[in-house]
Amino acid sequence: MRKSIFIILAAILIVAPPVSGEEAAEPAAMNPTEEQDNLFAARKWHGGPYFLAGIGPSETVSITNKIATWSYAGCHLFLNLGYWAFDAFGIELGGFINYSYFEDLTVYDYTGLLPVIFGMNKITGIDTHLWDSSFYLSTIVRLPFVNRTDLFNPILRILVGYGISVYWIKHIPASVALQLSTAGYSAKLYWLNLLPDAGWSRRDRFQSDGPVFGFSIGNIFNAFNGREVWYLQLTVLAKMYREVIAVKDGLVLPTKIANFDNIHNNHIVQLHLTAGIRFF
Amino acid sequence: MNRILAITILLSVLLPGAVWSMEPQAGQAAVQTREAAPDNQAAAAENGKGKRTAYRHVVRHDIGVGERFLNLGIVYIGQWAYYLIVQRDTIMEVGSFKNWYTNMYQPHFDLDSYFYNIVMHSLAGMSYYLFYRSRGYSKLGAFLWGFVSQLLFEFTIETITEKPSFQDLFQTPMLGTLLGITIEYISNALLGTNCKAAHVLGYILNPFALLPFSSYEVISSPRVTTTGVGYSFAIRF
Repeated sequence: MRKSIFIILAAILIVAPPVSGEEAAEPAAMNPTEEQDNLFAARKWHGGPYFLAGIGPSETVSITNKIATWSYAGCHLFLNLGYWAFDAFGIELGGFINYSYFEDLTVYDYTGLLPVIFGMNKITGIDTHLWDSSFYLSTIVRLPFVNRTDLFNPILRILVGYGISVYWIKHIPASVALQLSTAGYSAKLYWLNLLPDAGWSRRDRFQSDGPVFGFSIGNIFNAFNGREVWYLQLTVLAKMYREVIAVKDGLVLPTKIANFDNIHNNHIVQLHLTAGIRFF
Repeated sequence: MNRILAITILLSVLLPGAVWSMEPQAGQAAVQTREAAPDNQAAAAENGKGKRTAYRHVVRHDIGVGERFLNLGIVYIGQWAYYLIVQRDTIMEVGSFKNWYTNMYQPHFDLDSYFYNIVMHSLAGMSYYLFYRSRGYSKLGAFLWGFVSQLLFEFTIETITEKPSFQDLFQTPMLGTLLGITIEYISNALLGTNCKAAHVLGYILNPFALLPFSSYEVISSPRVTTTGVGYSFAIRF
């Protein structure tokens, strides 16, 4: 309890001083265009705090010991709060919120007991939704040894954090359901081998979590003139899952019904192409 | 004189937030000058149409520490009220005083659905952001105080039924700010038009603009014409 109170008080003390005097939070010297606060997007790159957001397509590759599966389609939202210092680098807190759709996902070795030969012990045709969030701390730097202009201002971001992935099975063919039933499948659960038994609803899901590593390369436009700052970036994320949790949906509070080791060594690699603007 | 009074009354009805916020405040004149639009309300009032030409947020530089904590308290009371009303059944089912003080120091990654984590918390974060903006905070200030509000909610309110969530702590202020900036921009654009239906929609999108002493207003501005240079402003009683 004391720890929580300490966290809250610390946050208030951190927040209160700069916003008690707006000049401290957004020094005029660092904000050559002070009227930018009334604009939708910030103009010209300047020091101090900044907030970036963007959207774009994404591609997710699910990799296990047995198979790599590419998502059919995906998109993401990028959020980033940072502090740019000394006109050289930034320290950031951010996240990617991603949706991907897997069509005809193939799951090998669903029993975990039988060998995978001649197409046996394999399930195909499972359409799956994937929602995942990656939260990270990062540092961003301008690429050195380049002549920066308004149209060419490349950056590099290195990030590390933690990610949550949630899978919903959209559709399981009747033949697969029969196969499972025949096999007496009930509790042997692996990554997506976690398949529905009695009482499984469409809102129930599987959640994996684990550390995230990645990097972004991109270009910031209009950083040096008076126009709205925007950027394009390509991000590669690797998510190293530790476990799988079976989640039973509740009205407000979901419940964990089981959790399992990531014995198939399932990981995810994601590519995000992001276009966005600087909001402040 | 009657004409000006009539226009003032009309604008007072249409712009309750603006009426209150036009009360003299220290340091605001300079802000208004700096954020001036090329056209202005007073000029529009001259032709009797009550035309709005720019509806913007004004950052207040004179918000004291006491007022900031008062605003935080208002949000906190609102959070308690919302929580007790909306999650009444859940509180009755699984809530307890023991949960309230034991869950505080057990933050974790929650198992909630994306409807709650993305949609509901974004709307909550947007509400925090727009409220603080209406009180005159900068974008950064609104974000930071929204984060503090979310921190208080997660650690001192919602613990009755569940542990604090890292996803909520991140996504609520971040997504809320993103949504809030967008909604505020759209709302201000609508309120800057000359269409009553657009005004209604603008206030629906950002109802905090209706609060007394709101920092949203039709701004006055300097005037530069071919015949001279001056400054137009409105005085309301």
